[in-house]
Amino acid sequence: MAETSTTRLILRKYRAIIIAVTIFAICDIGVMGTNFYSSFQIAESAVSINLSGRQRMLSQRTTKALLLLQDDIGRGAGVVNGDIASLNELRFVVPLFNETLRGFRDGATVRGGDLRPVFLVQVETPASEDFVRETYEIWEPYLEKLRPLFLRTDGTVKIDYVENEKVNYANSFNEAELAAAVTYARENNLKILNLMNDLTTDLETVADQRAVRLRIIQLVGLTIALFNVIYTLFKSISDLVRGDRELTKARKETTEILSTVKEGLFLIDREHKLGSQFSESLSTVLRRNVEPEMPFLPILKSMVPQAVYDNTRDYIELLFGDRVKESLVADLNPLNEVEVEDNLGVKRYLNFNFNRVLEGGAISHLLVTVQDVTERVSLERQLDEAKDRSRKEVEVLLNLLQKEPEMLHQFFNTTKGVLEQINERLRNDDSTQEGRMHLLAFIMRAIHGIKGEAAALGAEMFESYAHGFEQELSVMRDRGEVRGEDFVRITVLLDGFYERLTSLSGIITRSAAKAKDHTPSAVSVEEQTELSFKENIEPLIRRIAADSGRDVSVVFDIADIGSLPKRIVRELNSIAIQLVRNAVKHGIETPQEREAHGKPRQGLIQIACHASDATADQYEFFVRDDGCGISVARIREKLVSSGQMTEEQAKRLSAKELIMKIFEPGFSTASEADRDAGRGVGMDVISEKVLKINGRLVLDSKVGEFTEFRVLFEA
Amino acid sequence: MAADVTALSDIDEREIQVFVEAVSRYFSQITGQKAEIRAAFLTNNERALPVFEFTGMIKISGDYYGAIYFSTDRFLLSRLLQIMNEPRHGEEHLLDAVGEIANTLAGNARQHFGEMMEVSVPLTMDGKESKNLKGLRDRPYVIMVRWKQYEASVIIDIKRKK
Repeated sequence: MAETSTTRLILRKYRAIIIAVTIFAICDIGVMGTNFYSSFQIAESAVSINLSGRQRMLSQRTTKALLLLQDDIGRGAGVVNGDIASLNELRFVVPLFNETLRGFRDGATVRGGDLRPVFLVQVETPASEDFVRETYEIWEPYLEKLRPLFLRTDGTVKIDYVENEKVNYANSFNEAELAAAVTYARENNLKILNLMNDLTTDLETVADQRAVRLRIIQLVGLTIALFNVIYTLFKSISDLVRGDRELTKARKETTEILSTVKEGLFLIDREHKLGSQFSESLSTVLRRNVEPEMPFLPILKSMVPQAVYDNTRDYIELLFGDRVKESLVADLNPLNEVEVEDNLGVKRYLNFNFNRVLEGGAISHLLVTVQDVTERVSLERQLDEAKDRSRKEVEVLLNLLQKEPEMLHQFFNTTKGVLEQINERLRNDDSTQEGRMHLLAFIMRAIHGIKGEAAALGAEMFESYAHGFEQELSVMRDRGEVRGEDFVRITVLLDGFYERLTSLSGIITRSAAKAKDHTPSAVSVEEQTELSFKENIEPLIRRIAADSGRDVSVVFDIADIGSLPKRIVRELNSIAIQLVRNAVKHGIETPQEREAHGKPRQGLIQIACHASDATADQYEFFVRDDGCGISVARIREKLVSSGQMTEEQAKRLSAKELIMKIFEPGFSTASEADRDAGRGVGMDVISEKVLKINGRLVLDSKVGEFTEFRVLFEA
Repeated sequence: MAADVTALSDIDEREIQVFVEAVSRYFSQITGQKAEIRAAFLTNNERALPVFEFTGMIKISGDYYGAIYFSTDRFLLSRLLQIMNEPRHGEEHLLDAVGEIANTLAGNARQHFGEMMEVSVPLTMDGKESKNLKGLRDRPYVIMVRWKQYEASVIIDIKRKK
């Protein structure tokens, strides 16, 4: 089917040339045919002219022989044996003249010039026919008079010549018979000569006409053929020139397109080799040197992960096979917005599109388009992030607007202060590895503290950012080394934190404006502080309990907190955040576990703050849970499993020493880190805060029953 | 919960690394010894940019705008000139040297960011001229680098067009 259409296309394209060549062939065959036919005719004419000339000569030889015979006989030459030259001559020329004349009249095989048989055609023109007829009119009586000379011994008379016939003539004619013949010959000799002359002339005219006709036909045929050749030549050359011009133009346009397009454009064949032409941008887009006929897959291999590479190879094979529709497999393209890494390790996104190129219905190549879509992808991601951020900002706003402006302000100032501290420490880094590890521990504590505050405030945006920040820091810590480029990462994260904080400052302004509109609260400052504290802690406990599948109730006894200085309340708040977090995550068991141990399903957390000594401004603050208690065995096990100690070393530690381990940076018994536990920073933060208020931390715990952290301090 | 630590800021750590690596590579090509990141911090835009005595600056326009600075003291530059067999260590030559490093930054930026970033020819400043340089970002990035015992800083103060 496809072949038919290709043939049709070729026929249409070269129609003029095909017609010209056909005409040439027809002319050629025509001229050749005419030539062939005419050459026959001319040969026939030559025979006729030749023989008609011979007739003239034969008529004269007949007359001459007759006269000689008469003379010979008159001189008494014997005729008995018939061996007389003139008589023999007569007996030779008369049959020859007679058969030739008959040949002219009827068309017959006669003896030719060399006496070999030759076909003499009947005369054609009316004039020739007349000459032959008139000659007959004279020749037939003449022949009658010559008959006695041909009488045979058997009494028959045969004028005609028969080859190899042995003839015995009677030779019985008399002088009178001979005289009559001579007389007739004298009378008619000239007439016959003239008639044969005229016949010859007429035959020559016919032959001339034929020759002229042949020449004309040849001339016309050759002229047509010549024009044809000129036309064909002209047509072919002009077609070629036009084709060349179009080809040059097309090539120029292709080159222009290929040198202008921003996309990488190239073809790959079934062997996965690049074509001879591709767009100039290809090297730029791929950031690789590309040569014609280069294999494509090795280029790809250096850019993408093995799995993507394997999938692409399969995908290309799929496209080269013609079983599946191109549009159906487009979604499988593994190089759609694919992430690539160049020699400098910079990541970019490229988009490769593959389209089949068909030739005669079969897939010959794939046309590949490559675009650098890094900008688009990163803009899309930024947009997504921005959307996500906006959503979270709205959440924060809704959450935070319900908080007291004072609390927001406190969070803003505290966080900003912490970030400043971090930045200051970064600025003054002493660049020893030990110093850097300390700095890292400091930053982790600081960020963990912010995370807790953010959680208590319900500022999810800050909490999750701080959580991610911590995760990255813990990777560095676990590596046991802080590298120069880690600082760049930390700085970028820090900048991100600052920016989030900036968005919060807008909310604070709005929130403060809202607060101004409110009528002054009827509650006292002390009561307000107590309320804020509860509002901070209670939702946090509820959230962590819900997240970790615990059922917890909380009891507050913190009436005295209102009379404490704000500085101390802030620290107690931070301590409480870390402690309740630990209490829920590490203390309170799941309802099933509690039931199994014969405890009520619901766990209880008690938070209390009161003066322990009314005269000396001594206070105590505690957080107690009725959970599983601190298990020394679990701490030991954790120390060994995390590789911090050998089993021997851990065994040698006393219970007290083991418990002290939980206050060291990086210790956690939670098996997986999430935002509420697991980094081993919480206890670290508590120690730091307790120090800040010059307090003491007392721990009391019984396995399976309770854990109590008590902070003793002076107001 | 997925960690949300995508930098909110409009520039990326990798963008910063391009400039820092350019400086590092320059030192390793010229002297055979890399310059290393010693520290990184944010500076406050309320204050002048923390620069050394000699500063080379390239201005950025296009999708990003702002400037990148390379700043160091005369000791480092003198040592560098010495290694490059340049006997003259006058003020002018020190400025040329800092300008050349800024030019390396420009070249790398052009190569790396292509059309996204239009980069000016480097400008050089001495201590007087750079005394009151102000940043464009709220908190420009300061990357302290160390080469041998010398100190230098790369300040990234560019923003992406919104």
